[in-house]
Amino acid sequence: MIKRSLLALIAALPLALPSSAAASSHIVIVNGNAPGVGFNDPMPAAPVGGNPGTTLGEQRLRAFQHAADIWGATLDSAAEIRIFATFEPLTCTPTAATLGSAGSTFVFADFPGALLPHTLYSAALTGKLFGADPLVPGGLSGSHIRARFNSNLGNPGCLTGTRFYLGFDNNHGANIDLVTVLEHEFAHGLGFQTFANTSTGALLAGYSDAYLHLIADNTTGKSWEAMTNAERAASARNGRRVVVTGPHVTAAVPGNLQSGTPLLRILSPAGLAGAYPVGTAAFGAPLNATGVFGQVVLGLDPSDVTGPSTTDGCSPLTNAGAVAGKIAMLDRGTCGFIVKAKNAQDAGAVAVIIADNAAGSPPAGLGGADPTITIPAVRVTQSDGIAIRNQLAGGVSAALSLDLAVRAGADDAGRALIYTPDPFVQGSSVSHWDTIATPNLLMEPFINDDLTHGLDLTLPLLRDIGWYPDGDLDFVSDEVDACPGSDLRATIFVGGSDTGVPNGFFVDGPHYGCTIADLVAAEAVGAKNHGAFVSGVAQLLNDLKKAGILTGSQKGEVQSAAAGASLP
Amino acid sequence: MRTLVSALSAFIALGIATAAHAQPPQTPPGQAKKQTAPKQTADHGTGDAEELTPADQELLQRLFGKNESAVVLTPFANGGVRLELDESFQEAITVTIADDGSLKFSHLTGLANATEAVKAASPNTTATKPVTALEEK
Repeated sequence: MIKRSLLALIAALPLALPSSAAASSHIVIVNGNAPGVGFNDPMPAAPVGGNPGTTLGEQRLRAFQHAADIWGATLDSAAEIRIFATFEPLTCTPTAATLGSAGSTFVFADFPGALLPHTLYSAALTGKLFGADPLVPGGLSGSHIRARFNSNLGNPGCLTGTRFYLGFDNNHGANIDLVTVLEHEFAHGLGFQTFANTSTGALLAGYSDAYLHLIADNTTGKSWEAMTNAERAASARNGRRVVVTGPHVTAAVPGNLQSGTPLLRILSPAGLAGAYPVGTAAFGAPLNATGVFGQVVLGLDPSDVTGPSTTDGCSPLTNAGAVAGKIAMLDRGTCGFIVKAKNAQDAGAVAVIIADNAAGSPPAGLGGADPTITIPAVRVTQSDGIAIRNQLAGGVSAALSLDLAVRAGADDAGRALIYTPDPFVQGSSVSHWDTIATPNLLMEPFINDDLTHGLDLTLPLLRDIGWYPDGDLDFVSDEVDACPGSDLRATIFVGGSDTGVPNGFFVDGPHYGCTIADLVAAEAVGAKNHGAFVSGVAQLLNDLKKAGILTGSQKGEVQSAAAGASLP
Repeated sequence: MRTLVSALSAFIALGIATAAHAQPPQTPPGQAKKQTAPKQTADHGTGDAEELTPADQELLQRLFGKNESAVVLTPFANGGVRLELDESFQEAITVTIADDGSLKFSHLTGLANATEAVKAASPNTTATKPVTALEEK
């Protein structure tokens, strides 16, 4: 049964383009350079790595367009996306350089089509959700993204000899793959960034944003939107405990991050139970999936010239009887990590946890070399160390292992971690994936050599902020669209013939995302012959008439067109 | 050409746009990549402190982060708003050649910060330590 209330007329829809083919978005590079420089540099260049340009400027422009096309092919939008780009001299020295920058020029909130109220969207994403370009084309003010890159890179005095590789094949060798850098920077411009002040936690002009909406702290269990400014600022420094909650990202974690994260898992007491990030050691036995289990016992040693603290493990432990067969806990400080680990091992410990003596997270690794150390050693943060120590009197049971149930770059619940180190790193914190992610991801704060131009977890995140797939641009995600390739013409066409009858669009129910024209066309797909098609259309039209969607004369027009069509 | 104002006034809002984000989880895309190069490992222990204390670094970052006061907010009659962002909101990327010849990338907010970071970088500061170095104490 088809319900009248579930239908809207196509003419009333905010559709910018008639479409029945798989869409994408058209990303245009707006060349902002003057003649003779940047993208217009006439220096001859030999085609490289699939880039057919024959001048330096042309190759730069083609590399930009190539990176833009990678995103354009995966993101559906009726609105053109313009990137105002320049190559220009940026700051550099022989050993350091600014490669470039990019970002959204404008953000919008509370526009028709916005998925969430009081939430900022990048200009490019606004165009998709709004269904039309929110900007007037022309120059920088008419562009959704601004990008500028260093034209001097590789020249004498500017990261001398290390250039942008302009090929499309990622065969960059010792040079810097421009396409990878552009993919990364464009993703920021498309919305992979928060606009909040992550140092203070303050929202921009009091608005949330589509990226921030997805962030939660798994220590407090709070979403960033529900936090005060102070809570957000603290969460931005809560290393390896801040995650993206978007369903697309979480679903994509198993396909993008490998199993295995070194963890300390406290088993009891209940109030302390849970997974704690650890820094692993360059010495001793590496953590494995089997792991080491035991009670955690504070190692005690004399306060002497090798170390003033009685818990620094710089001298042979005095409570070997208590430590033997257990996991020793010691404090960082005074002596080297290998001294502490060796003393714990000599006391019979099966593993050693070294609690940091300075604030910061996630815990860094433990350096040093001593082949005689055979037990595993890890570092925990100062705050975690204090929390554990406070419970030792009542007994703490723990396991140290490479936890195969936890993906490298995800939390215990399989949610992707974002980069929230303490101390805070302006420009890197929050708007990137955590660096523990393995394999490396495009949106980590570092451009790693092994990136492959793939879109890894980054595309699912863009899906979660609003870049839902929509091949027919009908504002219904293809993931729930019963007709992802709808015929969205304003009137019903049957076999190429325009009936003149207004087309309708189902906004709910089993035909969600379909038009009347789609349903008529579907009758032809399964029909054995023309008679069966005509009969099927008749039944459909009767239902539509009963539902009050079509009048009798409209039904007659469509039925007549079906009878006259060469279908199937 | 359409401005936001004229486009908003022409827009006919239907329920379908807001229903569009009720999407099921996506099938994991693609294949997991092979890791062929060592990762840069951020090591934030106290031994990493260079010229500035963490408190000083945070103060500087607060001073030179996003410039919210330069944001131009334009309200529209239908309740929508547009915010124009200046260069301080751009994501900038810098690179330094480390002693071992590897490239060390950093992200900063705004070109001005990137410029200062590059000027501050010298063989005796940011590039002196191999990026995978671990503290030994």
